[in-house]
Amino acid sequence: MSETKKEEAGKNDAKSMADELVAQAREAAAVFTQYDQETVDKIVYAAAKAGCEHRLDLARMAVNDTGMGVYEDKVIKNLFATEYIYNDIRDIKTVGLLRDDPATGIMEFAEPLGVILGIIPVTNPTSTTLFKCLIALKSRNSIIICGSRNANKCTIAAAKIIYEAALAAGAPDYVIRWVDTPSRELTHELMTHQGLSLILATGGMGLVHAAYSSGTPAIGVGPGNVPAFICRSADIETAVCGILTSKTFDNGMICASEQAVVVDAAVEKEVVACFEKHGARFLKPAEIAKLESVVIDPDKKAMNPKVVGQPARVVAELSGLQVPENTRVLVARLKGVGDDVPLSREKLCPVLGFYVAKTLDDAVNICTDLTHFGGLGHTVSLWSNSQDTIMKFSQTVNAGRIVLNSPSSQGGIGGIYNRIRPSLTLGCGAGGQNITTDNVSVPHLLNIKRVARRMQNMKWFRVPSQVYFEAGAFDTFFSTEIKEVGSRRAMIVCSGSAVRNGVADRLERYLVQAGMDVRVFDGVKSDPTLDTIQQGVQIMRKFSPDLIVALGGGSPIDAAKAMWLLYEHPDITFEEMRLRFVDIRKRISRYPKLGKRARLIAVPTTSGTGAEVTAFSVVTDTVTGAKYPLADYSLTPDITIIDPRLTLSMPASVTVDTGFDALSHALEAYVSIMASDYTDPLALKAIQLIFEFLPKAAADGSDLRAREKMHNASTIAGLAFTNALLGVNHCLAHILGATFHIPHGRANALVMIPVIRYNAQFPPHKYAAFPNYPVPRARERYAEIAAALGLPAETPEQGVESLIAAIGELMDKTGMAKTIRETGVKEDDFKNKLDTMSNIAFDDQCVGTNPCYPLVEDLKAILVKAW
Amino acid sequence: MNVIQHVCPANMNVVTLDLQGRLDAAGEAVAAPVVMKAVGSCQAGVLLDMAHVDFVSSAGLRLLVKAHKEAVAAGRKLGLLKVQPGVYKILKLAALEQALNIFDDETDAAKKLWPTA
Repeated sequence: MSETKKEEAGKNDAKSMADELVAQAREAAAVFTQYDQETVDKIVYAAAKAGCEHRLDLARMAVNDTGMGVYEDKVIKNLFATEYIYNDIRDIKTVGLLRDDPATGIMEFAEPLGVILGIIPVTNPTSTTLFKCLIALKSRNSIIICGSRNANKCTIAAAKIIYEAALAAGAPDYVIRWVDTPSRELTHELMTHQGLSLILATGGMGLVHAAYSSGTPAIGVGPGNVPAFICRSADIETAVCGILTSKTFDNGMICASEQAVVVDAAVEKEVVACFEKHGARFLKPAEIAKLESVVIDPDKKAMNPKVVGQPARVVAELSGLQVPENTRVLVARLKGVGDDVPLSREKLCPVLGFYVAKTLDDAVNICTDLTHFGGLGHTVSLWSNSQDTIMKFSQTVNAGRIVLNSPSSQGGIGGIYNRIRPSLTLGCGAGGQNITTDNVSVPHLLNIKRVARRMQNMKWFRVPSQVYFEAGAFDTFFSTEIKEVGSRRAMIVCSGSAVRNGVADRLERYLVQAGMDVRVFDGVKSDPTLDTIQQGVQIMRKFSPDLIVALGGGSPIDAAKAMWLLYEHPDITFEEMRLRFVDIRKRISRYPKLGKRARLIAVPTTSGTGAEVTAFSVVTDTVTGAKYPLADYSLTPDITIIDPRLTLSMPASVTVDTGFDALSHALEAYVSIMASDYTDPLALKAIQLIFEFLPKAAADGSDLRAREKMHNASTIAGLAFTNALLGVNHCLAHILGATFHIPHGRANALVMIPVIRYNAQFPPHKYAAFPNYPVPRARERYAEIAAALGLPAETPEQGVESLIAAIGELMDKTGMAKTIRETGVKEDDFKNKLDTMSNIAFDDQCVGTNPCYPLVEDLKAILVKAW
Repeated sequence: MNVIQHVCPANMNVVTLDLQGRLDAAGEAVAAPVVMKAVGSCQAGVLLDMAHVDFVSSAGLRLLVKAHKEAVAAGRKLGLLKVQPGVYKILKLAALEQALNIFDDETDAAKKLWPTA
């Protein structure tokens, strides 16, 4: 047969062998998915027991097959692979429901992977086989064992022992398969087989790379070039004995074993003496040259397989060196790491490099060099009792395992000297081009299915701790109760009108009588700008008030809130304050708590913005004119004084504008996706009061009762909307106001009816995505408002229409403009700015809680209808 | 394992076997002779009603595959009815669900497997 034909025949053979193995394993994996935890655990117990019982003969076979290692140490490895691994995995839940967390509402279920291909290294053939079979069985996967050509007999023997025990305990047929005659072609066919779920690749880099390149998910390992740093604070003899224990274990074949010792110069002499006392032989330079030429293949730039797992004497003999009989380890003093220092590489035999570090930084750098030279992400050993040294090392050096004060081989595999998960497959993370730095075990062989229950967001009801109301409350509070507040220095924030009408002066006298130093900032105008706020803050920083009293309409109260924030936290920026959020509890920029330096009392003189009880403050950007609602519950005033006498002087137009602002607050709070049983009664009450008393207050400003009811309505609406939040009515009012200088309340009124029509459409144009708002209900909610007002509402549609009609009537009775055009805005100007306004409105903070999530085009359409 | 046999109402030449219980090693030992006999002696084919089978072992799976192969070899057909989700899953994992002709009920099976009858 020609070479090509032989090759093809070989490939076909390999393919059909792979097909057969995978088909059998796949059938077993399929059947295994039905097994319950009890049966699985019974199988794993039986398998572990069988492996443990055969530890001696398997160890003997491993040494005989490979010609490497130490029989007694291979016995220990087999014990580790059964006893330690079984102990670690015995109680892990791997079937069905694993976890159910009421806090997150998530249930986790286990799903096996399927067929695993377990690649077995020549260095640990039987122990790795036992390990991989046990973790596969525990996770209800089937496994195909693929051993190294030089260790195949013992590998298969181990697999068979586990398989027979598992089968006898009830495992599915073919749950463990093995490759009888490994070959490159067969390994390739298996790795790339469609029926494989995972390759568990423990072995050389070529093999691990092949696994990752195969297209099948793979968990591989990396090489280790483990440095062991002995710092001056270490217990020297413990360190030396530990290193020797590790380095001589199985003649240094474990990848986590030390390859070089890095010693603090301060303890060099002591360390060398201790090593020599315990059988280490420090080589002379000429001897090092001979050793390196044998231990490291200069062409392949890797360790010579002939020395792997050989005792020190044999390595010395191969290198032509004479050493005492009891020599445990050959030590080569080295300077530098790299190709020109061959012994600075990984050498899986009892040969150690030896470096002296002048300082801790030097030591960390040498360890960094060593790990980067063929061991990145694997393991590093540190002998130190200094917490600073441990922290520095751990923060800097890239290793999946940093083993403290323990032999590195035994420490790296876990479970013996520490509580790292026991494993014979040690991930090296990105450094080793692996997917994990974990000690691989059962959790890596399970897929977790997460069942996510729908979770209601916790809502809240947050309001000022003290609200005082009734006619005369202002005088009563500030003449008597104010002393209870205990302040010494008060700053009044108001506008010029509060000074002109004497209220600011009255307040100042009360505060002085109460023994306070008082300053008055009366520079607040409508739509307070950032500049105005900064001016107030400058005064506060000089004056250091412990009480701020905001007196006036929405603008002074909003300004006082912003000043309060910046006074107590000068480091916060406007950009942070105004950053948009979807969920106030998840926002990126968090607001600090207020009240450490001053308390805030709010005294509204309009009815109103509700700012006296809300978490909001609207600030205008001086440069762009854009309005930004600042929102956080820390901005809620501590105390609120609701005295209708303060509103008696409000002109009719202001009364009507602010009255409609309060109405929009209550309407939006009622239909908001955040509405609740706590806010609904407040919203409805406010709406009822406004419908009854706004016409009266507008017609006769001296009607104290009407003023009282409107003033209460405004605050009650504020209590509602500070918790239920707002919607597109306010999004549009904000930008209309900013663009055309329309008073805020009036702007709200102009879009009110088109917004109601938009929100009430069914089905909505776009659903609001919020777990607590499962079904669109705005239409029904408007109808409830209509019913509460005694309007016809036998169907939702009728309720919506009668509410709209009632609002129209209210507008007529109070002389409110009904269209934007009526306010004097030019049509061309309006049309030119329509797109910009719609886009800005869409980005308003209030958008998110509207019952129908708006598109920009929807907002534009509403503005056009409001025109 | 219990096996109850009846003639398929939708096709008199088809035998339906209602398998009741776990199709594990013990169950397979009970079911196999009945299933293979039915496959050997039926005129058109066999339907295996799996509504009451909640576990299929390796042996059970092999029985299904064997019965199917022998039916085909004899020029007959074999179908499975009302396969439970856990068992359906293992047939999918083992890539057998296409080969084994799975149906919701006898009428659907009869119509699709023996359309000219």
